[in-house]
Amino acid sequence: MREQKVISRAEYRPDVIAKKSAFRFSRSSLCVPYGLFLALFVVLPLLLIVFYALTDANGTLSFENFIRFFSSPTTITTLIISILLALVTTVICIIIAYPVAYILANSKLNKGGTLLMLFIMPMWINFVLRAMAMKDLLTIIGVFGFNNYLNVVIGMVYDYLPFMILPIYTVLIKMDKSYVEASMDLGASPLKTFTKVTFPLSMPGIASGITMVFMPTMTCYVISDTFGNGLITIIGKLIDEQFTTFQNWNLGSAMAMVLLVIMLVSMWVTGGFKSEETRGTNL
Amino acid sequence: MKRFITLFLAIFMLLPTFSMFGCKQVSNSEKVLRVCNCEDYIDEDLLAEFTEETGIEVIYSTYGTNENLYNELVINPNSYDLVVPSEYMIEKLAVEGRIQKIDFSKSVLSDYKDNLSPFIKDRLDGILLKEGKNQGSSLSEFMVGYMWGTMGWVYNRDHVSDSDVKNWYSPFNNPALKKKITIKDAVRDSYIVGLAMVYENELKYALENNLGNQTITQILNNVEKSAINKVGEKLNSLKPMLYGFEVDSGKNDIVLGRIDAYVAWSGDACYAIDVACGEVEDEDGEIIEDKFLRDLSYSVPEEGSNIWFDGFVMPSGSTKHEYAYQFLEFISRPENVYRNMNYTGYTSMIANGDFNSPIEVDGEVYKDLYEAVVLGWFDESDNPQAQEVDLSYFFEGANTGNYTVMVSEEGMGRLIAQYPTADIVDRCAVMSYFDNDTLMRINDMWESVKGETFPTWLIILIAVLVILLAILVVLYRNKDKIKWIKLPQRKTTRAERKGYKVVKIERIDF
Repeated sequence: MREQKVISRAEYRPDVIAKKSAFRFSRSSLCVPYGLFLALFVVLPLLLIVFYALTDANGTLSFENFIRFFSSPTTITTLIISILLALVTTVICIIIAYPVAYILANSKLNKGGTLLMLFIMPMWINFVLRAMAMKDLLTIIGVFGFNNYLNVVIGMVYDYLPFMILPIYTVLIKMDKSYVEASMDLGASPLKTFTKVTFPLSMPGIASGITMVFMPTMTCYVISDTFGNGLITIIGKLIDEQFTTFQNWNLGSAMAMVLLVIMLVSMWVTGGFKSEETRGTNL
Repeated sequence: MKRFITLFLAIFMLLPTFSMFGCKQVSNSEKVLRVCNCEDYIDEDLLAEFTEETGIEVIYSTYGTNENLYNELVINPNSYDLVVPSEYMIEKLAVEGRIQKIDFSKSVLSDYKDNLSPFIKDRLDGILLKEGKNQGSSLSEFMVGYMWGTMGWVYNRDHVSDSDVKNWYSPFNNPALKKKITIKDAVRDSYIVGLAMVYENELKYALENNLGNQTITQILNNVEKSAINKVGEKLNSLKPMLYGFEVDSGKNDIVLGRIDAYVAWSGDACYAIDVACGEVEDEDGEIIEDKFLRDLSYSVPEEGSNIWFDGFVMPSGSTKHEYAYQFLEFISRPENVYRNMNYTGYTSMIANGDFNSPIEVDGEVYKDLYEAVVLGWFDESDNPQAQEVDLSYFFEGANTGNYTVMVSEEGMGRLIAQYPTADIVDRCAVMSYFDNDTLMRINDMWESVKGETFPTWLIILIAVLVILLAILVVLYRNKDKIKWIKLPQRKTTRAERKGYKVVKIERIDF
């Protein structure tokens, strides 16, 4: 009987194995820097937040921070006010941004994106500076000062409008115009074409606009401080004060985690519209 | 080509990762000193001159608030060689052992010791650490004094009378000032204002009976539960009268006339009064523009107020002692003190110019700081209505002399913002740091002051609504999967309802 010997690949072609284990630059190696970046600046901080949120000042596991957050009527009220402010801002942003994006996408004047650039250009200036300038402008016009909530909403809408225009515009300009033509050919009125064809097709843009406006407005306390004269507190301000003034990183992290959950929920609600179409519409 | 661009971008993205490890790690052999200060709190030309004189490079950075600085020092005790916190933060850092004692036996610091105001020295010596491993040491062992000041009302004299700002609460009694007042958006500052309002009578009693600064300090450091609750109620009751809470917009708001009175730190008060009087000087001190805007003044209420001291301290991780002492000597020279005061508007703790080193300003030579600052900036002896103000409590040290200045009523506010008189500092108290339990309680109080509080039933109602909404959304999302949901469906199509006959075509084959 012939003896059978199984030889391993390493024994058979040692040179091949050696070559394989040596580092070879491939396309996937390009992901390493971003992977490192993600791990260091996204995943690690998130883990730290979770750790701080679930421990007390001595580092032992406790839910004390969450209990404190949800048992204080003031923090809950602040959370509700933040959500309401963010909702109102988002809705107003959609109402203003949609027609603007629509006109931009269909205007002959916007050849080469010049008009769009004019709308986006304010984003190139630091937003704190813009907020302060806007406050002065409103004071001169005489709008400022009626109601602090109104002021804050004006400021938020002003600052976040480009973030709503851009995704809607991107979706609209990418949209295949033959859908509209087909709808018109089949006898639909312009209004019906809009409600049945254009608007549903632009839903992904609105969805990504909402995610880009809703969450930041809940935490952007620079605007609420500037426009509300410090009389309006939103949840972002509370978190900041926990980390600075009150040195309570645990409670601050717990608040941040509550926000994180709200963000996930809001992503899930708006994410229902997402599909391949949304790719590239985010900023 | 594309690959190269991507590679380049990838390397570019990695850069912050590398620089993170490299930052702030300075080896011992380098002639480098890392200083961290408040923004706009030093004449930065001085740093270059220091490097020129000594060959020590200064890495200068700034911090936003004392608490941010504290966080940095907790994370890395060797991040700086010299930092400039306020006295309460120095106290906290010293109690926790995060800063080192300054070696005042060094000969480089002897000029500083001679020139430091005796009043400041007494006050700092009097602040003793109550706990920690440095228990019993005084604050002055840890710090080299920099700037100091008080807190009070800055007010527009056209709309607010002097009697309106005699007390902390009195502006709130004037209905004409509704929505024309701001207070500080910083819990410590607003807390002490609230305390002064709540314990107004106790403070006045202490003053009238000369119970001394100790008693006032005790009252203005009350952090008992009942006191915190009372302060919370008081501050909440002020809100309808407030234009807002601020930390740095107030000085501009009052110059622009948006508000008529605001709680200010004395340095900001100097700035606001100077800007409002509209005189713009060129480099030689000549007035080139005079656009009078508003007649502002400064007043420290009768009940008493907060007095603060900022100083240089050495974090425990720092090893560059010699360089630090050289820097401290340099920054405390009367001539440099003058330049810093001129630049920042704040008041230095250095009082007596060393008579051997006169101060030269714009070609004129002054004997000491008193001559340069007090007489140079405030003297109005040619005004017949001017009255004499005595500042010897601050300046009189080894060199006795006449430290008075003639100031008119209009100039008085500006003078006491720079150099408060003896009776003002007597009723001003240092506020100690809050320990963690106190911070928790004050946190709740401050949240309720700054935020709104809905009644419980409303919160429950909203919570129920949100939960219902969430359930609806979930059900709607999964309407295809869940069998028992049947959305109403119309049996006829729209065309049928309109009277058309609908023919169903199964399949068309072409």
